[in-house]
Amino acid sequence: MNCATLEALLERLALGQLNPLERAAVTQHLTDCAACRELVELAQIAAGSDAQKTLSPPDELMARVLAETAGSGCPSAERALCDLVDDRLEGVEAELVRGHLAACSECGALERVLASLVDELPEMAEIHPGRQFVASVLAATLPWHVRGARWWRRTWPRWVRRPRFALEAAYAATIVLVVLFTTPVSPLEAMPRRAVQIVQTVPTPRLDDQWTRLKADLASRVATVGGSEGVRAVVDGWRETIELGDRTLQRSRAVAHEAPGWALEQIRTFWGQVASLLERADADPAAADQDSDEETS
Amino acid sequence: MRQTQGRVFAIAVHYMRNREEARDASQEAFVKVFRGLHTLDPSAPFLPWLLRLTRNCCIDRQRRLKVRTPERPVPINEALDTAVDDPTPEDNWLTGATRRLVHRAMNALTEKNREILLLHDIQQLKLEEIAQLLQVPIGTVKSRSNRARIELAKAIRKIDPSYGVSA
Repeated sequence: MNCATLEALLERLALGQLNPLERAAVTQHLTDCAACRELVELAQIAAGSDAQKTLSPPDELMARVLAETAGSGCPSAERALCDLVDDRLEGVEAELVRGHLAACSECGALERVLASLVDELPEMAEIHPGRQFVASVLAATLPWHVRGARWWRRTWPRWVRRPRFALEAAYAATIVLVVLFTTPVSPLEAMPRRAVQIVQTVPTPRLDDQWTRLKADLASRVATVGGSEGVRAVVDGWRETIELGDRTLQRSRAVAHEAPGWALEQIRTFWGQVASLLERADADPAAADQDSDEETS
Repeated sequence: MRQTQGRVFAIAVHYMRNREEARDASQEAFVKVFRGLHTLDPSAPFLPWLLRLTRNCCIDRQRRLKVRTPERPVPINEALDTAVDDPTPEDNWLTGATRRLVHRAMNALTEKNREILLLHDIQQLKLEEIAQLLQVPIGTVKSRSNRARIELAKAIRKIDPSYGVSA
């Protein structure tokens, strides 16, 4: 406390309205400051009180006052406790609070807890989140497709290793097959029936055999035709037809392993055209000549 | 990240009070740090920025969780049992017991008091930084901090009257 503070409290001091802490601070200041003692004397004289009691405090007054006011001084002491523990309280105020702590066991215990917490609380600033934390954060910063791929690589083996995976896979596959082949809107709905038909159909003779027979038939017909120009033109047309048949068969063989159905259809078409040409040639060689020109073109 | 992950996780544990949620909130905070590093002012201190970001993540997450069906929260002690990185088994018991006591006492405080203790006394942020973070005057931060410490000390005394006697 300084002289200015005392002057501010002077009126209440003279009227005896100071609280114990203020009174103790004033008493302490008056022991050191003669000017303030005179001021207080004057004030108390003016107030008509007994100045002598205030101006000459007994040596043990402070301790006695604090001991008597331990209970009522607790709120003020509590307010100052943190500053005291943090060494932010100095001078008379610090002494006053320490005096209160010495007299008040409850506040003293509180101060000891606060002093322990000064060391304890900062140590709680860190809690280790676990070894995988950094990895999980880094993984979360990856692009979504990389994360998805990593998740799949990590999850898939776990799924497969489960004992019931085979059962679940069979169940899922059954559902997929049923949906694919029995749903009316599915494009594969007719496939089982077609498969059965193919299996039940008599196997088609080999293409080579068919062509060999067809070629022999054509050759015999070429050998039997007459010597007129129209007939020779027909024969030439047939020869071209035979060569065309050879080329078509070779091309069909090349793609037969990929599209046997398409190749077979090509051969059948060609065979049908040649057969109809032969039939018309048998019936009317002149008409067949024209047809052969058209086919050749 | 390795230097600050402990602090970030500690903040998250205090806000979320659930280890798994705290872990998710911490991860979210770090992901935001990675994506928002370019917004960081190089002249400004990093730690307050990081802690503010973590706090905001935790608060956002708490809001989202309130919308969902509440799950059973894992007690803070349970979270700390697995979270504290103790060097030796002998140290575990003492340090763990003291920290559990402090955490139990903190659980008895109001949310505001817990928060100010966390930021000022545990994370050691400056009053100015806390005032900026909480959008309150510095004087309010200081008085709230003192009040929170006294409340914590009283709560600890209530749980364990012998605490601090040997100190």
